[in-house]
Amino acid sequence: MSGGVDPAIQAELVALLPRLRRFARGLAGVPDQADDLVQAACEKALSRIHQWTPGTRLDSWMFRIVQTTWLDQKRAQKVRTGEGRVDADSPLVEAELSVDGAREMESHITYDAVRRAMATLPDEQRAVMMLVCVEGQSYKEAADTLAIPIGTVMSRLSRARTALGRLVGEPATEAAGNVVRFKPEGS
Amino acid sequence: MERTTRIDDVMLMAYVDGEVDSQTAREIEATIAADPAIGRRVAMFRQTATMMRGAFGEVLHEPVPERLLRALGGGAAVAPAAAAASVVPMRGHPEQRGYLWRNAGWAAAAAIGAVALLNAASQQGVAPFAQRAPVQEVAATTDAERWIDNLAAWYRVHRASFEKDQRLLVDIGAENIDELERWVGAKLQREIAVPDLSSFGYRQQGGRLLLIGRRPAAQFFYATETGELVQLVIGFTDQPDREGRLDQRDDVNVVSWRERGYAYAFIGRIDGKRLWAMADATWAKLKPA
Repeated sequence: MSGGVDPAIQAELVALLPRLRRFARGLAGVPDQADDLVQAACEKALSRIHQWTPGTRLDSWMFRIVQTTWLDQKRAQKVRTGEGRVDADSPLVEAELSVDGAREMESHITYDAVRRAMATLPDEQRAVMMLVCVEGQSYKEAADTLAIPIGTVMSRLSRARTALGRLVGEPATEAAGNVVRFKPEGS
Repeated sequence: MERTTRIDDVMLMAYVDGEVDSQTAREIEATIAADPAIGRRVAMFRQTATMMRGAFGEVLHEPVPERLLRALGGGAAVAPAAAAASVVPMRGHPEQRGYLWRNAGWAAAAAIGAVALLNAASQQGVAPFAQRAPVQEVAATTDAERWIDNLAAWYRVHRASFEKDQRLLVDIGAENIDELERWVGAKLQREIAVPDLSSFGYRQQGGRLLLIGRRPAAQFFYATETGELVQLVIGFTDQPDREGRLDQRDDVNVVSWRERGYAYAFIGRIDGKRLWAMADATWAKLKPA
């Protein structure tokens, strides 16, 4: 399958595997399902490696393939909801997000709760969360990776983080002072 | 001239993410100082990013499944340098093999024989060898073989990355070796002195923590001036002591042993005898006090 692929590119893809697995984990939630997703994405990438433009970022290209593969799988309803994934309306998640303990200290919040909360977000929000918050991509880079406008990245990211903000007891409402009068320095 | 700016969640988030210019950042900071509600909102955006990195950070420390490496072309063949390697393949066991267990404690462990393998976090309450049913032995072997597979896969991923970027993903670098020893020592509930392999031409590069079987493990990196990489992994094990053993996965050699609740492994794409010599020179110092 990989015959004809530049060995240097293959080596780069291998080096990317940990980050691809992490990205896929954020999308799929379930480890085995995430690795299935990475495997499918790698096979797809090798079959269309000629479409990658040398000099551009291979990681962003791969993230894009992982994300589109995930959406394709979901559309085809090949992905089941398994352990670790929960529906947005699940009483379990609602209860977990609203426990008083979670409001007291950040240290009370388990990473598992974060992952569960991520699993309740729409797919498109999960993708920008992983790219910006975890991968450290800029808004522009995330927009390029996902082929969406930068404004869309920002709005999805804001909604997703507001939802996760409930874990630290921050309400979902917007900041109070909507309009602030600024004075430039020296005035 | 005065200007007004609408501060909303998107702007606050952009500030946290470093996506606003310096003037806007200063203006937002002034607003935060004056309005606790805005400050809490900013803290929330900052916390969510931190939480996300923490929640998914562990994945980077997990071994990469062999099937994913194979999806990219199959094991070591995917690494160009690996394909061109001038590594001497392992041919039988190194001549000096006996030296590793020239120790009374190893004599009994040697009797365990072929079942002996690393990391059995999933193996609870393993019975003495003589009482174990064959099915248990098979299960133990399979699990441990997978662990050796993972060690080799890990190594290949790090080596490919090291060749490309000339840097390693370490939690603490060699310049802070004391801190690294204290940190991993605390996690592994023992004192650890990162072995000095300079006599073999390898310099310490630092280390990181892994999770193996849901328990912490330490991974130390060494490299020669020409960029050849060797790793040392130390983790917990529930399995009995086991003599040193040399395994090979494609062109990657793994020398591993167990002692007093800890499993050890040297991993490298170098001659097995040389890797064995490293283990031989360091195992006594690696024993827990």
